[in-house]
Amino acid sequence: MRCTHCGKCRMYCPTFEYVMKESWGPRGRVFIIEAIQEGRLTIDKGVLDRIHSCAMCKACDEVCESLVKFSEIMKGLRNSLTKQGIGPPDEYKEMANTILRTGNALGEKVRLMDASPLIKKLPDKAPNLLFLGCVISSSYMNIAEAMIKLLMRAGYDFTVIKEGEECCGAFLDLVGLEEEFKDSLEKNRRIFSSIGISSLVAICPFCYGAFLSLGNQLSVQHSTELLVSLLDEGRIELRKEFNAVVTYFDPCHLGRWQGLYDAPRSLIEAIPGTRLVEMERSRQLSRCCGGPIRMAFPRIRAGMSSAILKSAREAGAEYIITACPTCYHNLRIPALRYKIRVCNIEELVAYSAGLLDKI
Amino acid sequence: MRIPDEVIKELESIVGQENVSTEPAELICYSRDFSFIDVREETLPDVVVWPTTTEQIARIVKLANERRIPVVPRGAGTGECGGAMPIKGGIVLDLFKMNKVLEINTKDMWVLVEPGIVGDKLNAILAKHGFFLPPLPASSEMSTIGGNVATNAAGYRTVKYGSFRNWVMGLEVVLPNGKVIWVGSKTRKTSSGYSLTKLFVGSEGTLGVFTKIMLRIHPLPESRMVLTAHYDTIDKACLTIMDVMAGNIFPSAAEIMDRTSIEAVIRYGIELPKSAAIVIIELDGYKRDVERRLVALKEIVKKNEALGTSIGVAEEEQARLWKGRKAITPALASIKPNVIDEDICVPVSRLLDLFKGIEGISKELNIDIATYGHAGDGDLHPDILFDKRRPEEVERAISAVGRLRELTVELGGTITGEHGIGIRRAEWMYLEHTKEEIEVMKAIKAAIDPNNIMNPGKIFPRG
Repeated sequence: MRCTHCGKCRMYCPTFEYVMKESWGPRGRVFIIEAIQEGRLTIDKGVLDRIHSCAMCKACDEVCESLVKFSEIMKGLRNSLTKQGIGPPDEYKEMANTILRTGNALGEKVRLMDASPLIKKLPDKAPNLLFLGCVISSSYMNIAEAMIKLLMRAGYDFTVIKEGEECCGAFLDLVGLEEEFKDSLEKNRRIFSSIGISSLVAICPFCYGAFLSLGNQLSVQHSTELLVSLLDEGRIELRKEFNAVVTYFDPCHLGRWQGLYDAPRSLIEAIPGTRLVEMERSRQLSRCCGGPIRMAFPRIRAGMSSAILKSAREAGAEYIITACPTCYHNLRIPALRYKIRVCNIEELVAYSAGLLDKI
Repeated sequence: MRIPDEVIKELESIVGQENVSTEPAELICYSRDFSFIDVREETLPDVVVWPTTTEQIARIVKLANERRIPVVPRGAGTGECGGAMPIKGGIVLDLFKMNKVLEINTKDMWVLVEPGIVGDKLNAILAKHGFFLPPLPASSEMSTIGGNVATNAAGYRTVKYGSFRNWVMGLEVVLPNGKVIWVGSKTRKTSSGYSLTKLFVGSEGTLGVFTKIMLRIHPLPESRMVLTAHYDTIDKACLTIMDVMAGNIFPSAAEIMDRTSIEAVIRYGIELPKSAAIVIIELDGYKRDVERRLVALKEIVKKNEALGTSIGVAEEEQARLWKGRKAITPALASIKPNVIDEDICVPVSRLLDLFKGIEGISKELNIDIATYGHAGDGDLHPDILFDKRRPEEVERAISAVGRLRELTVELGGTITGEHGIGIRRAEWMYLEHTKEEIEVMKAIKAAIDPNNIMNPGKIFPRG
């Protein structure tokens, strides 16, 4: 590893920002990994906590002057430990079982048919698939409905998996369960193959990233990319004003993980009356909401979300716009304390297209 | 060493359980800092503590003194000479959580801060008031003010504004016996008593813990301009620097890059003219004054046969001209994966001799050295490049370190311009200082820290 221990990563790591103790930052985790490799440290619960509390947000990769790809080192380490029967935290092992049992990461087996009356209006077969994902289907069908209404308005030929949508498994890949992730991905590949789709659009960045690896068999887009195309083609029109100062929050798994920064911003800028401001740390330097460590490290996750909301307030924003259901979930409740409101990009666009009465 | 459980319990009662750790995962992180491979010792501390008030620190140090337990104050742990490494075990005081800006006084032009605040964060706050702190080092994105004061740090702008010692007006210090004193003055000058402030600055944690730091601040200049020039010999670049320093140019930065560093940066992907040397000079002040000095500067550059120059006026242009100099560290990884950075400083008139000497050492030991640095201060950073997977290359790199320090002293220089002694340079002190001088330093240390608990094993050679 070329890490020189310069410590720059400490200034961008969201877990270090909250805990402020060396071992909970990237450089500390490097010290720990080096010590394990050199036989100076045995792996105990404390060590595992440091290894698994990394949110894999890639902020350290982004700023490292020695070009160390720490997130890859971390992923490799977690997988190698899992194969030796060490880790991950119990909460994640549970989730892997839950996905196997129910096909949903949150354990809620949802029949999309029953989740919204809009779904019944969709055809049984179509060349384009809208993939909702576990968080939306179990908790935030409002986001799905906004997107469905937009696509219907645009005359886009699509459907959803009305029964039996399976978790993409992306989360498993992050925590060192890469075999389980491959199983989930394969399951989905077979489903897509059997229903005969040529393209997939995902609302959740985790799903988007996971299915991109099927890219040679399937054209995969994020919802914001598709919405920008439809807007450019004049198939959606944004007429209704939304008079507010808003800031856009870059999800790690759309921004740093996939390099997608502009599409959501183009959408916001196309909305009449809306003024877009940027947080002090945005785009490649944006903070992580803590999603991937929410279950095992809730206190740290809460601190991470708070830092974002505080920054949005300081930027003068009345609304934070998210493009990820996990970010949306993490930011929504603490937002009340910061007198700022959280709104999903799909809902904002649907509102301006006259498809939603209010946000 | 082993700390008794009742001491750990006492520490927990002072700062709270969540601010004390004896976990192996934590201790391993605090056994190291940014030091290089030539520091071979790696002792674990016994405990890490995260205090946030002067009172807590006073109680901790008093307890440590009574029990003869070493105390190692630590900022961000970005020092390169092992100053923050707990080589005798004991208590590491991580001051990063103690990071408030306590007061900004724009009339008398000072700011009062806690030691854990990061330099760039402080400068961002000062900028809103129209001020800045000039001596911040290149690590200012992550290093703390406390660490900067402890090492008498310096940076690009030191050539005009001086090191940290020129900017510390006062300190609240917890002495090794646990007593708290204030040293310094709120006035611009004082002749009252010994200057303890100047003693504490650069004392590398061996005389006490800084709990409050009062710093002078400077109004932001109306304008800045950057000029870069490239040359076909290092001689001409050095002569340029010497002429600039001897003239009325008063550059706010006067940096140099040698052929090896230039080539590495080009390979890294940043456009620079392929040449033997590049100088980067910054001017700051009132616009008209800067423009006038720029005329004089251009004459000097022309006189010394620069092959070409570039001038940056707008902020983006300035940033572009600095890019190459600031990319050296990552760029060097393209030559060899590992580096030891030295910090040798000579009188400016000996700058060229220093470059020639470095070249000689590089050839003789057959080891790559990329040299760049604060030429206007006579302070160069020869980066020794090697692959740590090759043991004999490591040994040659370490030999180069010693040779460079000998060279510096031969030229009337100092073995460290800005980084400090720590562990890495302790055995080299006798090269630069007489036995008598070191005896005086040791006497001061013994008077202030009779039980030698404060960062033991640093600065002083074992002999």
